[in-house]
Amino acid sequence: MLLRLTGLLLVPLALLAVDFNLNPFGTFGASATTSDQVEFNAYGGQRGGTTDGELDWTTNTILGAQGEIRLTDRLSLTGQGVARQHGEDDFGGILDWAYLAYQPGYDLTLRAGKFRMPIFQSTQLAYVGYARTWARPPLPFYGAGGYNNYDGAEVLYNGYVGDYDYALHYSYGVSDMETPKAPTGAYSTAETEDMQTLVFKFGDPDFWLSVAYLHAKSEVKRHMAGGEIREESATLNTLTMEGERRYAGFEFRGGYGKTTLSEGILPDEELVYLSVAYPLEEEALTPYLLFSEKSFLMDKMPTPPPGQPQRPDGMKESVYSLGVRYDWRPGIALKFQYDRLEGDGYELVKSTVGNAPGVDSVSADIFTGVIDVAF
Amino acid sequence: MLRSNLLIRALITLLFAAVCSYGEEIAVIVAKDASIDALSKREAARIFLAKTNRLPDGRRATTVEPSDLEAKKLFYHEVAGKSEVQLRSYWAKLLFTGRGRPPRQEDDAAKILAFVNENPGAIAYLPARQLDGSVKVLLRVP
Repeated sequence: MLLRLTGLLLVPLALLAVDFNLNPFGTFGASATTSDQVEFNAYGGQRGGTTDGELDWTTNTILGAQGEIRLTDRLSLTGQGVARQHGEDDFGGILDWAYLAYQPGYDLTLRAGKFRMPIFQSTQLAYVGYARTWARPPLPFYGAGGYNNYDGAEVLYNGYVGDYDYALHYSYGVSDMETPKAPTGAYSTAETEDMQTLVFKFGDPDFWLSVAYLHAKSEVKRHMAGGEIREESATLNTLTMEGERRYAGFEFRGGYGKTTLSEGILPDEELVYLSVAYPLEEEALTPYLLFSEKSFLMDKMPTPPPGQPQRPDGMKESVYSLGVRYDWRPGIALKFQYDRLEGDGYELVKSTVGNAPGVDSVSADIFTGVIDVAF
Repeated sequence: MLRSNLLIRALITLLFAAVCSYGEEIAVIVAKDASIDALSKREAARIFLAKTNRLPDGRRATTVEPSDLEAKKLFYHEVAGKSEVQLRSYWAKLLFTGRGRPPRQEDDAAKILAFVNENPGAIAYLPARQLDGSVKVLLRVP
């Protein structure tokens, strides 16, 4: 409701506002994969991506814009909308986030609206390729516990102690989610309330570290293969850490996150990524290595009843990437990336890579070239 | 021998002048009647990188900078140790997470000086040679 109201307000306010800024951004490019076992998708929830022998121009492509209206010195309205491929022949737009921000004090900001999950920086910059080194976000699914967005309110505070800057970020909200369907047709939906996130970030110009904790209560409906629906509730806890360090010309970056659900009604989730980049030629050319891995840990989940497909103990998706970014002009970057993707335990869940039913382990080589723009 | 020494010195001087053509001072400025008199590099970096929107005297900061790329490179290198590419990446991250905007840009020093004088809380930087006596200098770099 809040989001709809924000969206309705955006256009007339933009027309009336004295201070209105619009920043378009986009990613244009192509991917190809050598594997006939997988369908490569660039974003969580996306379907109809790149398959064997096909040079695909839509999977990575995104058009977006961010608008900000400054209503007064202290009050502003900001939103970001994107259009991208969601499924085969389905290229559509969404208002990804939008909020009203008020600054009662100098270093304090209050916000209300729809937000991206604040726990990883890559989560918040999911669609803005120009703002990251790599061709794609490092984590195949980059939300927390399956969540990418929530509706609610946030409090942000920025300060410094000695040579270190720090930021505190508290948010409270609600969210809905739906897991991808397994080949059996089973899927789950969750309505989450009392979603509270606390993020603490500190650093100096060459270093930053961010720690985030998310706590939420979910009402989960499990839609079983036979049509049966089981309703359960669970508590969700996510702890993440992410950091970056510049040293001797290298840029090291990494993140780790773990989500656990009480009662074992959905798999626990573990995310990790590590990256090293080395900017060359006055930093216009940046080669990089990236490793990212996502694991679903199913050992705490109840054993399926006799007659139902048995699940593996876990599911893992690992991506080894090698790439280069070239900052051609201000606001324009070219990227080429090779990914080696390996997945295990794929039989029940479709993830970033949608596999053929019955295929448990998959691997793929993916080649991507993109142009990222932001103005 | 003397001639060759002079030639080498002249070449070195020319080379140095070329390399350091922007080796001139950059000055951080506010209006003459502002109640602050000095700023550290650290404070300047926090203000111009939108980590705070407050001046040390408590006023809300409005940042302005020249669109001259060389002045920007030198200023951010000196106060924040950031290169041009790092700065672009920094602003892209801040802007597209809705956490801040880069300073307002002006291509004319006279406009920057006028803006600083006309707007309480305005803070800017300029090559020192472009200053007139109408503003107060808080910091000089390098």
